[in-house]
Amino acid sequence: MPSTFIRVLVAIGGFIVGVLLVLSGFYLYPFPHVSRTARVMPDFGAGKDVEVYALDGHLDRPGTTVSITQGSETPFAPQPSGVQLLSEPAIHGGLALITRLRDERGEIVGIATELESVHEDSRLLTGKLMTHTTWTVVLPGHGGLFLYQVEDNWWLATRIVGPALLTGRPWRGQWRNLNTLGPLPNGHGRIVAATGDYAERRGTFVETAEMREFTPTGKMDFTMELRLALEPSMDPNSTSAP
Amino acid sequence: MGRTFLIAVLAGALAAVIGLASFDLAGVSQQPAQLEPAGDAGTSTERWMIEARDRIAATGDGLQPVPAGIATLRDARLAGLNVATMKVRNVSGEVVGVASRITANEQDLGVRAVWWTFVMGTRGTLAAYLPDQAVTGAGQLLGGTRSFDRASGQFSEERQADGGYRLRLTRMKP
Repeated sequence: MPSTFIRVLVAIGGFIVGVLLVLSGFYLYPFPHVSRTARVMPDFGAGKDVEVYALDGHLDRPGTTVSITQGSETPFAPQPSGVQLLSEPAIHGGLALITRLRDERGEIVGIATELESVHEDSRLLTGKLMTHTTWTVVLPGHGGLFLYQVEDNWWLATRIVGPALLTGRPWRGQWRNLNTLGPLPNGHGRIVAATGDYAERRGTFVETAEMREFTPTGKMDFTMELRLALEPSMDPNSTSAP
Repeated sequence: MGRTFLIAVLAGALAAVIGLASFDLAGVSQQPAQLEPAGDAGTSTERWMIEARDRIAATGDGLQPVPAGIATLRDARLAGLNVATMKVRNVSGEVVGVASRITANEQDLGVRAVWWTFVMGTRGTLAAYLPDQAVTGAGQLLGGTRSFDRASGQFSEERQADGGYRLRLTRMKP
């Protein structure tokens, strides 16, 4: 009897060890797409007209964000108080955000919305937590852009948001990341459509982020940038926005 | 005993791999299009609706703030602009996507344009545009992704008294 009891204990212990080995292996495995920031960003915008628009959020003062919500109260704190959640099954994995946009001088020059839906190819086994992300950028007096990208949040979820939520302690640091993971072969997002000054412009874009703090309540100190790489304009009278 | 431990480790590892592989991160529910019976040759028509309760957030010139405490847009460059995010329903009343609507001056001509963006889950993204808000029904589809890739055709919005919308899109068949 003692021998059987010990054998069962050994089996349970071995099973747990096996589970933990696999989980820690996937957690630590250097999935190739995780290192894309260093591969893609150095050449971004080479030979192109680059425009950068930023949004931010802070813990101690208002940022540019006007509204954010998703399917539940986590991971990002819904804002403002009373904003409804995306609780219906068809949109539960998504996100809806409104933000003002700053130019490179820090001045507010436009408005943007970010709408996300969960990407059907997201897999833990491949280290991909992806969304279909659509940005709509309107720069009054200049025009609008509809931008589409596939976005991956594996590192954000496993190294920042997950640990903060599990431990109940805030994450602090300086994490810079290229969020965009396509769909274009060079890793950029694509311009779906554009109007006004941008109507005849061709180009691509990426979304980058710098996270400085994330609290267990889902509040953040962060900056994100939308970086447009536009083919040089052929129209000598066109105005570079804004 | 050592053999038992080794077998258990392998079983645990296999169970973990199966668990990771079968974990459904997406939970995507398919929402097929509800097209109207064919009208003009070469087009297909679909209607969506947004009810007053579907407004997620709204702020800016001429819009009732939703929710009540939402930030106002006081920046000089955003004067006269308004923006909203909303849930979108099909004609059966089911929520099938999310949308944003932005109204602003396209260029410095005093004409207010409207940019609509629809994210309809696995169906993809659709971009629509009304170059002059004052001209009812004169909108156009500008393109999209996936099932809306290269979408073109007509788009119209009909504002309801309660703040909702009735939307109609007539796509040219590729």
